[in-house]
Amino acid sequence: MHLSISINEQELVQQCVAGEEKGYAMLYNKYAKRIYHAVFRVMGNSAESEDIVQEAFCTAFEQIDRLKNQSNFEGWVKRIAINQAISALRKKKMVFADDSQLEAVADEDVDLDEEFLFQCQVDDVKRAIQELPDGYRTIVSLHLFEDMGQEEIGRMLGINHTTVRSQYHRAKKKIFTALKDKAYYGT
Amino acid sequence: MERDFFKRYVEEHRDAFENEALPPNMLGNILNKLEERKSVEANLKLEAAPKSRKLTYTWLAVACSLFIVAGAYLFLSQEKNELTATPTQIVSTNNNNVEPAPFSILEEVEPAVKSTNAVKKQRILVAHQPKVDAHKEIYTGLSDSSSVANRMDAIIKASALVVLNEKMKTELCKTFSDDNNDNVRLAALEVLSKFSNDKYIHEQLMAGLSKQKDPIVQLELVKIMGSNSNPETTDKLIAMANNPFTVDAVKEQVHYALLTNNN
Repeated sequence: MHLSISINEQELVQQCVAGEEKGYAMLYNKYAKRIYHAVFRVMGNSAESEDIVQEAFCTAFEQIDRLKNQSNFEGWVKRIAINQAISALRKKKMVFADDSQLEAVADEDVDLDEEFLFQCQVDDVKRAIQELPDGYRTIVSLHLFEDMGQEEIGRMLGINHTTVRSQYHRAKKKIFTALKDKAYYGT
Repeated sequence: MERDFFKRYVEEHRDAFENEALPPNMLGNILNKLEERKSVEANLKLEAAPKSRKLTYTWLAVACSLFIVAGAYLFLSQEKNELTATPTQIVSTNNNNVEPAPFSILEEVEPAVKSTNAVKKQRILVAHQPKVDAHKEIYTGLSDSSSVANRMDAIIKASALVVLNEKMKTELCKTFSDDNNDNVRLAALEVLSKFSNDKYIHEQLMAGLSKQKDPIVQLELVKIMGSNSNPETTDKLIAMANNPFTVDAVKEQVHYALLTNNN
């Protein structure tokens, strides 16, 4: 099964290298949704996310002959798109700050209760993540959804990996606080 | 970072986290952009090719032509400086005495300026330059089908305008009516609502009552048009209320508008 998927993907990549529109369309239809959501989680803004995804696909299709691992088109485009999203955040003067510069929030004890989390609605969790400050949201998105480790995220954002770790835990506490508020007060 | 139960939650509900539809026509925009870039690249190659061939013919020919061009440029620029010296002086002396409003400058200096037509033209151009550019920027932004952010940016700029000229009205109405992005249409509606007393805009907004399908846009439109007691508007509102595809929240707003109108 896995083998046939990778062969298909390689064929599609080959079609794109040959400039065939069908190849572009099929690769886009296969991965655009996941890539759009990955970018949207980082940007938190649909108009900018749309532009970034379009630009990322254009860049990928233009440079597709340079793709070494042809069975990993998705990972490649996603990386291009996420890099562009982070650059866009930086252009908006967003700083991925070190711990020392951060507010002392969410350091209070919050009970990170697994059972409680699994009772929560996905929409509530989604909203709690979207309401995080930009820096926290980026780290949470990259770690939880893109499966990146702390060193990799640190390199990408230009901050120390211990900062990534502590910000991730603070973000998690903030999410839990928001979810518990929602459960108790319905807000 | 160790694998935590938060991550497990995300993995188990991955599909629900990514269930929203993609914005429309993204693939079309990508393919258009690719086409554009390919044609630009091809043009650049075509332009570059003959140049390099000419350069290989003889360096002497190039050096001579450069020399002639530079000489001609120097000669012409010197002549131009002499011609423009007088108007520049007029402009600078008058500017010191003038109030901040740009168009009153033109009236005050008119007697002096009338002496030469060229100077008059130049001053008119200077006075109108920023206005034309701002409008052009908005038109360009609105017609950029490949970027929602550019279109939104153009609408934000248009929202700062106090008066809309005919072209601006047409462009904004076109965006409100035909743009494939709901947020862009909503933003255009917000700008147009400020000018809803204008006959043309009013007609376009009324047409939107039967054309717009997005509930959020419909809600805003009903709020704007609801206070209008024109029989045609009332008919369209009744049609919306009777349409089985109209969502409940919009229907409620329509009913409210119809009730308050009757009062």
